[in-house]
Amino acid sequence: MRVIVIGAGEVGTHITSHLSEAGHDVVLIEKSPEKAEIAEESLNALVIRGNGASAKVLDQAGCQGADMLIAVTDLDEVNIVACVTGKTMGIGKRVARVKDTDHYNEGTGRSLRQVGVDIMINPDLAAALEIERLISLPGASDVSDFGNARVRLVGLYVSENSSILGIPLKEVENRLGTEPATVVAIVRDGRTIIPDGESKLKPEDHVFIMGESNTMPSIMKQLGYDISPIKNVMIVGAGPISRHLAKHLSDDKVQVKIIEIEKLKAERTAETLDRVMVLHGDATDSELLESESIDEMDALIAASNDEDTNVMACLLARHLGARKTISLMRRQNYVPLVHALGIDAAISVRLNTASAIMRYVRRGEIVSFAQLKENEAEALELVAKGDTLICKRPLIDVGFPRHAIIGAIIRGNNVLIPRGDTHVQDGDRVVVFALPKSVEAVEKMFSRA
Amino acid sequence: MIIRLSEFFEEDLFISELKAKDKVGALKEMTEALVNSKRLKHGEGLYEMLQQRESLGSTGIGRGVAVPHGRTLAISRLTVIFARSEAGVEFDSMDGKPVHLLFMTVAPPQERANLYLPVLGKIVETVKSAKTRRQLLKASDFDEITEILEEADEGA
Repeated sequence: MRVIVIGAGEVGTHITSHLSEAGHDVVLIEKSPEKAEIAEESLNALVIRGNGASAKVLDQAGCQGADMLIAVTDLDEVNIVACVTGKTMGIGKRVARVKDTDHYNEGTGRSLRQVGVDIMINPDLAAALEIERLISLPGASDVSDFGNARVRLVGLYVSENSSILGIPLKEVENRLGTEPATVVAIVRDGRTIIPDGESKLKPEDHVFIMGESNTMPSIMKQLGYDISPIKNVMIVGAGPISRHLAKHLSDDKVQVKIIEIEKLKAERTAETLDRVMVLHGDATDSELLESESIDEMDALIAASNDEDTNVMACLLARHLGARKTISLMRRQNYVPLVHALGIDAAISVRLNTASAIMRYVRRGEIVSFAQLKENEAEALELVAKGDTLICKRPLIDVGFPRHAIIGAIIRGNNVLIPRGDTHVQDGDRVVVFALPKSVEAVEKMFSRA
Repeated sequence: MIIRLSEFFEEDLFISELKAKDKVGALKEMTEALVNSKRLKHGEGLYEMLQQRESLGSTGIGRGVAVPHGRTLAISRLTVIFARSEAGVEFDSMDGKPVHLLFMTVAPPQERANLYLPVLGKIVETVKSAKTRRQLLKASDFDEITEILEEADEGA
């Protein structure tokens, strides 16, 4: 597939590197010479200097006949114009990162679609939704949905006194009894392992479990993780992510308090949110956190623009008794440090945006996509066709690739957790977890020769 | 949990018109009302606690509303003191405007029903409505205030 990516920021770079590793033909367009140079050195892709919204530059990038255009510069207007231009040049599918919620709004969004933006990704809304999913399962470090949210992938940290230490995974899975789930990955010392039934868990492992969405709370409970509902939430910072999140949570009857350090921003936010208390103050002040009852908060979500404030607020909140802390990270290179610092979960806005976009980029059969934060392992949702390899025999005989595992199968209205004798059928939606080196082999099993 | 705000307001803890014109005076006057109501085990430290909270950032949340709040051992159950000021109290509010409706919420450190945060939240939600704020300011007596709050409770 030929893909044009516009903007060599963290999102653009991430997508370019991912697509070129997967064997796609990628051209990256970047306006700033410095950024273009860095991208050229680090990526295996053609980098062109110039304005991605200009027809001339797009022409130069070989736009004619490209399959997809992904416009992810920091400027909404540039991204939208690039899509419009891309449409006139006959690019099949066009994706734009659009921050301004007025553009994203369904009412006006339709007109944007008409002019050439097929898919709009709003990074703030995407981040807010991810935080909301995380809050729905307080004990989890990661939560991703597949198959229209019927299948859920949950990340959990294994503690030293966990009841599932040192037990072969097949026994752990057996213990779950009527609510089956698959352990699809273990991240240990920064490396991802795709486990088999004999694998055992060690303390500090970061384990990923997949199962039917509505059984996940009970599965987590059986494994000893916190699932009691979140009722009180404190949000640090009154930016767009906080506003989306506060709106969604308060609509769900969660008590939300926002602390914003800039008076004007606090005031404006208070005006737009009806059921939310917005206070003006410094969330890194332990006295303020204490007098705002941080010890009664089920979660503190640090979503300010300032990374240091976010980390500090989380550490203080944890120290003062908040049940769960989630920090927003603008730069993804901090994300792996978060657990070591004692923060329960981190959201990388850029990685999250990249993942949201990648969902639309993969080959036709793949309908959904998620990526683990601290490594490159991927979860893919594929639709099985009757005449492909995957449907030929039961799974145990099909020769499923190493470093890949099927987490769940959606068949009609049912979610199946696969065992060796499971036979994939035409029309099944199959959620696969795989290391990058195995993704191609997995895709082959689902493709017609 | 359904919070009925009207159940937390009491007649002897209603100050129809504050004498104070500034924040310090208003906090003192409302604390005094609480002391006079004999609901406190002792009056010590309550005003200081509220004052200390204000020094970290004003609880004047804009639109003419302030929600001074805190926990203290001096009280045995969640209590709301409601005061009005037609002229307005200078409260260092978020929007810089004077405050006309003051809801002081104090609760013990441990309360069984854990209503402190929900009640605070409910107050903020209720006074977001311009109509309710207008009605609360205009109400001629406590009975009328109760009616307005009941109506707001029903609407939720």
